Amino acid sequence: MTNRARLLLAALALAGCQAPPPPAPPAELSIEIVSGYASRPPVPAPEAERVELLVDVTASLRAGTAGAERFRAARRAASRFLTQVPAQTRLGVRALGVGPRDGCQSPTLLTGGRRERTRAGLAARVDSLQPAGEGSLAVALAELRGELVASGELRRSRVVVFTDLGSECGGDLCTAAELLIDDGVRLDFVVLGDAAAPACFAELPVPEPPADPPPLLPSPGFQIVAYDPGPEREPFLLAEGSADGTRRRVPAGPVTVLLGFEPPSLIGPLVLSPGTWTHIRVVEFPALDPPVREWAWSTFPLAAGARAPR
Amino acid sequence: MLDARSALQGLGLAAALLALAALPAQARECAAWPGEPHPLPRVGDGNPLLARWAELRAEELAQHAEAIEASAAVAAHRVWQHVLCLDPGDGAARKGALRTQPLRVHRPDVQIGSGAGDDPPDTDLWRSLDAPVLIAARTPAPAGAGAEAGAAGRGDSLGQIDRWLAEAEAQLEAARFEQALATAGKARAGLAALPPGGALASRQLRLELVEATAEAARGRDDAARACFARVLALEPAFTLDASTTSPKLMRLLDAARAQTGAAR
Repeated sequence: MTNRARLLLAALALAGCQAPPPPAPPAELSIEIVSGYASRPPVPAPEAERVELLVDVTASLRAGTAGAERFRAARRAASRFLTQVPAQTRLGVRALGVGPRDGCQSPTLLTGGRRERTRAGLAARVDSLQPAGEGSLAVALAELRGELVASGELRRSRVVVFTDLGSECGGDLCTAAELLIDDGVRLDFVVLGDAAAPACFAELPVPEPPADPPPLLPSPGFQIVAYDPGPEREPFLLAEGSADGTRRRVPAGPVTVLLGFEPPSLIGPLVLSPGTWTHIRVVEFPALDPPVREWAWSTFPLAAGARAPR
Repeated sequence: MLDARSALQGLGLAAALLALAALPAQARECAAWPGEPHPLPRVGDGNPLLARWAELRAEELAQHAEAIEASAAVAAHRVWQHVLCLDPGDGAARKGALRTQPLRVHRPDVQIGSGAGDDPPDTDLWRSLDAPVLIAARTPAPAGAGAEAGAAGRGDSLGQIDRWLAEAEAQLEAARFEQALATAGKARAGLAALPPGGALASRQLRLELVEATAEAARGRDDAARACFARVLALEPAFTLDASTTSPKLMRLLDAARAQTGAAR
């Protein structure tokens, strides 16, 4: 806080005791403020990334010419990818469609087996996957989400799905994807075949603010003061309120505006001419690097119907 | 002679750039966040106070998005989208939104080869999802079927190239410029693998127009100009419809024409 502001604030504490100034022709004054964040938003601490692979080898991936069926492309793409995942990255691999032939089954977890402890072993396992049963991609993603939630590993997870987008077992793929994205998970679909991606994919994520956005700076209070014309030049309060754009009637003459920011801002001295309206615009971004505080004022005649330009 | 209809299809896309380059797809749903002025102002707003607010708010949010990108990419994506609402012309925000895209669809080309261990390595883990997938052919072609297989193979390849071009054009219309370029890259590789002749020139023209439009939208004017130069090499009298094409594309085409000396 500047010395001038301190002095002014201290003097204002006594302002109630000061005699009001002699009546003067009226003027009007308003203050409009637009602002950014009140403080710099928090930055989440970085966490090690986790990658989850879901390899779809359900019956629809048998499509394709003999020897070049889609499931071969899916498992080849998946095994190639997983061998490129950095060794320090936590990796989970699930296969959909390798379970029993009857009904729609959940995916089978491949990681964790003795032979699959190394990436090479895991890649070999993926490369040998054969379509056997059916399963819903949407349900598989929902189950995967549940497991990640349970293990507390949703954040910083990325999920890669190798699929032909077949939907023999139904399920709402859009909702499953949206839930994961809402949890902060990034999704990659590697599509084998010509199936069109669901239209909802182009609309995800829904444009909305991140959870718990930091508040913007609220409009501060302000005080409009004038100075006693005497040799002591004591300030006395003319008006006060919230800087919300409301026009306030004050005596014409020289005034100073004190805005209750931290630190406070002094605007002025301004000379308010009789029969005029002075509109002060303030832009305040304390969390910007570097912080920005700007103001400008315009004066308009107090004619009937006079309005500040938008 | 080039297929004029195919070329015009590309021109329609070029015209669409006029709007797309300035307005991201998400801009349709640019609602003010809590505490922000409503309706959400934009840089260049008629009210100087709100215009300045939009400028500073975009800067503030861009700083925040950069800070959280490494630890919360999806949240950063939402912030980048909001920056684009405030300032649709912000190239850094557009790049940030692409970088942090929460959902991507990859359609790698599947190639059948003699061995399954020959995939070209891609040093970028996530970009490798778009790399062609090579799978081993199990059934050798019967003897004597080589010529027929060649003709059928060319037909298949052209069909695939057409699908890529259609996909790239759709991505362009959806303002997914980087994806359009990636898909066009597949089409380019497919075209390069075919012997010249046939109906390749019209496809080449479509490809160049898609790439020129996407490159211009991304602000890479040199690359866009190079695409137009290749268009003019294919069709020296090529023109764009000034009434439906963005002035920027018109300028780039004119610049390419001046460079190549092609006749109007």
